[in-house]
Amino acid sequence: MTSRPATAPELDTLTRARAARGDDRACRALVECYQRRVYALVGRMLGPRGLDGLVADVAQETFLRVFRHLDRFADDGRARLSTWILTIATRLCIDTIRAAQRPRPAPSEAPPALRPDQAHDRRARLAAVQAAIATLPPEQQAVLVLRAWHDLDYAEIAAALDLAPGTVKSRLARARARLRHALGDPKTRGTP
Amino acid sequence: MSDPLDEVLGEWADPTPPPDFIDQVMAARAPAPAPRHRRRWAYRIAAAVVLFAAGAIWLGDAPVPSGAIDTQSRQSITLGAGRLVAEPGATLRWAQVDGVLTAHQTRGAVVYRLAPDQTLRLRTPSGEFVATGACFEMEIDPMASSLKTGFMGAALGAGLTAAAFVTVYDGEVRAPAAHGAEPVRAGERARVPVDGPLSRSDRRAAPAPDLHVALKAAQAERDALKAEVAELSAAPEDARVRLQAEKRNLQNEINELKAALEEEKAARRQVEGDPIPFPDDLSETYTEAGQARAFRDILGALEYPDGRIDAVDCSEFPCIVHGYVGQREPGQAGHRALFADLEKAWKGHFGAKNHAFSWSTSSQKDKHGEGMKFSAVVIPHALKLSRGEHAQMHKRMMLRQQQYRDANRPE
Repeated sequence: MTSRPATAPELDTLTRARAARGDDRACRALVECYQRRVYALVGRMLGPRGLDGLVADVAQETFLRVFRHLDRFADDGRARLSTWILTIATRLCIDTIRAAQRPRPAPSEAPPALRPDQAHDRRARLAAVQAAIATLPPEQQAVLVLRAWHDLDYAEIAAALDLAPGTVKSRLARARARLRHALGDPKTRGTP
Repeated sequence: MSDPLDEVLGEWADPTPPPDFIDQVMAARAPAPAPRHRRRWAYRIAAAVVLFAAGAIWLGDAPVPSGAIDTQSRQSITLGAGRLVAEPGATLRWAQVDGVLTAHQTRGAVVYRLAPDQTLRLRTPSGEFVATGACFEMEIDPMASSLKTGFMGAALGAGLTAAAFVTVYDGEVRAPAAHGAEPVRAGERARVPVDGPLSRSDRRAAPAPDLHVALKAAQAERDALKAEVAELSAAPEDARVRLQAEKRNLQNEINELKAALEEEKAARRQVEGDPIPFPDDLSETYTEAGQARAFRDILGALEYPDGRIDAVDCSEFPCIVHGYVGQREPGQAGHRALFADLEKAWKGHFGAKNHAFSWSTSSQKDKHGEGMKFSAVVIPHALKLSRGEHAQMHKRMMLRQQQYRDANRPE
């Protein structure tokens, strides 16, 4: 799995304070520091649902909101700015998915499983997983993306999505089961 | 064994932002500019609040008044569109004379940062320096200050020590010279004695001195403040409260910058060591003129047809003499032969019993051409240096010699 190193760089305190006051160079530094992470998250949230055309807009809107509310970010030494920014991006993605109201399979409907002859085709396997991701409820997808690619722990995901940590674990487990089913894992057949 | 699902997820490459994504975001966030007159008004109020708090004087682009300082602690002063930072111990007065900013600096170190079209006449005990739009440091008689802290004894003669050192970081400074003025350019350092000719140190000025960086940081803070004030001008009723908060923020940042500056200085001292002050009772033989004369005599006695002295670096103790002896036998044999010649000659000239002699040779091509070069140092035993002082001197000599070589690499 693609995982971010635990020590992914964070913006230094001084630059963050300047960005909060609207300093152009500091704002630019902030975007530079977090743009890849935000873009990756938004791309993985919207891309599988055919909303690729909105990725740049949503990523941009994320940063505009960050600038507007940066002075509210609580620097208590525990919260990471990256987590806070990814939270904003995630919520925007969920709102965008809901607003798009694209026809998609009902959450209870299982995605088509990979045919046995495609089991060793890497591209087909990835496409199957992406298609399965598109059938997940947006919050479940967000839990999966934040955990799988952004190394957020359960508590951070729970705080980001306003959920109980236990709910995060169960949603992650359900999401992974559905993806395994899409890969044709016999243990998950019929149990999405 | 890894999870097959994780393997598949790992194959999903990160969607990446377009190259101009940052520009797009910055363009989307750009606020509508406030009316110009309101911005200027608000900016001046804000700047006055902040600079007044810092103990500085702000007059915008108004004519520079006369003033004088005798600093006990570092002071930052705005002069028209320019600025200076005076180190503790600096004595300075300034005034507008015939429409030109004119300053008299008689003591200490001061960094000047002039606006692009601003001219400064700087009078010192060594003569008048003139600069336009430059950034430079003027240090008056640093050796005199070493009298208080020098580790080697009694006072040094005033005639020997009084000198101005100018280090240019940006632009050009015209220094007094025997025939009018001589330019000292960015990256150069020159010494101008009271009664002697200008001599350039072959040591390059540090590319980004701490104070220069601090000034840049202060300018960046001012720009940040300007942007903030532009925003505030839309809501003047809140301006007072927010400016006070801004002032506190800026003060905190200034404190952080100062702390970072001190850390940087300490780290540099750790690596480079402190410069060695000139001993107080040093004979004229070991000064710039004495060393140049002695080594010229030595080269003359050796009858090297191309032998010459390229530079005598007396920016700190001991002086290092850099010379050229022309084409010699290549390889180790040439180095050994040169060593034997020099050793014999310097022993004869200085007296082997009473001196330590340190030298190195190089056949690397540099700005002075191909052929063999030497760098030499003579230290009188009478100084009775401790082991620690020897180690410190050795560290500094290696550093200075490397700086000389770096500065003289072929273009």
